Amino acid sequence: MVKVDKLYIQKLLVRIARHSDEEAAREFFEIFHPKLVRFAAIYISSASMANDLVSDVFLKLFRNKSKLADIKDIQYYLYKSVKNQCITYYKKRREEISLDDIEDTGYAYEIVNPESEFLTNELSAKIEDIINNFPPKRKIIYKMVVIDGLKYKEAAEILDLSVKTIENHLALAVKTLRGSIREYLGSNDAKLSGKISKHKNI
Amino acid sequence: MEYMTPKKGNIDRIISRTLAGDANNREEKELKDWILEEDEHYLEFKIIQESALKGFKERKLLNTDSTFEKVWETEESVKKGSHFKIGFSVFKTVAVSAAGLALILLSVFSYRQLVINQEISQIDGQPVMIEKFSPMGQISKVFLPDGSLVWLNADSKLQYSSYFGERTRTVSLTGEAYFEVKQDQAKPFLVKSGNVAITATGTSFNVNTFYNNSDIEIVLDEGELTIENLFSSLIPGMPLKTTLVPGEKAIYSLRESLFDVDDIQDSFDYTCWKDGVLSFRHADFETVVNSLERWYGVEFTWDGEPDRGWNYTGAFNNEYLESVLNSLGLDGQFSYEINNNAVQLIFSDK
Repeated sequence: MVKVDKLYIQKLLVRIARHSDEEAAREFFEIFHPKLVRFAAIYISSASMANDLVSDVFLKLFRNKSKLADIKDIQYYLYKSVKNQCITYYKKRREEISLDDIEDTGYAYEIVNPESEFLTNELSAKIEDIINNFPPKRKIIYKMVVIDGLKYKEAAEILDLSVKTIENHLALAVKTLRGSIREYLGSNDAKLSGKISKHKNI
Repeated sequence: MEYMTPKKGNIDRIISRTLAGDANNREEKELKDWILEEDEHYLEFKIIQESALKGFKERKLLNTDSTFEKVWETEESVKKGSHFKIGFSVFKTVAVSAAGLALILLSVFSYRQLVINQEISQIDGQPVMIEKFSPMGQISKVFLPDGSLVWLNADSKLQYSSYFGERTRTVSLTGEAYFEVKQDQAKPFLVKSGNVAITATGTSFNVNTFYNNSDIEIVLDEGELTIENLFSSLIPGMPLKTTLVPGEKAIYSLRESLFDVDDIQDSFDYTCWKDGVLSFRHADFETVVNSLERWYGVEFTWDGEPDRGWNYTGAFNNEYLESVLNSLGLDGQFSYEINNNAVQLIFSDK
């Protein structure tokens, strides 16, 4: 899904909470469900089980839909609920698992509508590739903070890591990305340099 | 005016803070200065920022059919289905893969039927999951609609759609099963287990997901098999597809998501369970206990510590639990008590 617009999500939640609006609920579901299944899959090796655990979370959430609009940060709430659901799942099975060991279960990203000012298709593919090849932890952190917009502290709490660790991973992620972009530009310099002069403000 | 020039390495921190919307004024200023330093800097930042703003879409995990209808209960359905308490994770294990609450309710009703190993047929033309379950202490033989035969070991489960054989032949397995697949080149026979898909045409093979804590062991008797990691296409640099010829076994390690192919002396060791022979190959204590629990439908507890060096090899042909324990006890140095389904082992302390 495209980058989450917090205001828009909040509007969806209000529609669901006040009017039991099914269309809003469906949209909300479709934005978050795949994200959360991916997230659950770093802890649960079975994709269908991860899928079911996440569905459980939505089922419970929608049962209390009148309270939905009161949740302060829905994204954080969802990640946290799914994480708890995973812990419960392991407790039920009386299995010991350290949720600190994040494994890669084929989290893979694609940039949506890549073509834009500086982002050529070729460059997008390269960036996807770099991110998909991050170590599992770094990949999920980058996704949660940079793409999903969670606060450092929130991501740290969900992933049972320190804020320091989150910071370090992100800095390394940016470093790697910058390095590759620099390298790419080195060989494709002419194409892009013309564009810079036009807009040199952030 | 004087301010600190950014330390080397710092800029990466500042960029990530900015991307996360978390940078303070001083950091924003530092970023601006850094960007103005070189054109490349501007591009580096802009490209990372644009790619992040564009958002990423997650490629869908295979095996996940998530329908909104399953989690959205309308006012009426809640009233009608006040008993609808069963959660998804429980529900799915007996599941029906169809949309709509009516069907979900139906599947909850038929729950008991399913676990006692009965079939339910199609409802309103919707495909329905058929489940065959072999309880502890029992081996079942399943005849599939296409003429293929499946031996289902104790505590194992086979699921397939009521549309099985119409266009595809797909089953999912939890536990252990021996397949004798009827030849049909046009419709390959597919066994799914966790992340692994096994494709066969006119083949006999054994699949064991009990092996070594849910690693998957696949032994080929006859024919040819293709084994594939369903996630392989999603993980860069992981071309996980392997073919097996008779006399080989593959072990799929869940931990490493990797296949390991090995030669075997004799497939009999791996497949004899279907003929009522319980066999162990260099089995440690845990493996032996787990197998016996499934095979005889009992539960073990023990006093004292089993010797760490357990490495048991042996076979029992349709024997009573007592005689198996007698034989194991000689090697493993324990005595035992059996009380209904509870077996207690008492280890002598050397």
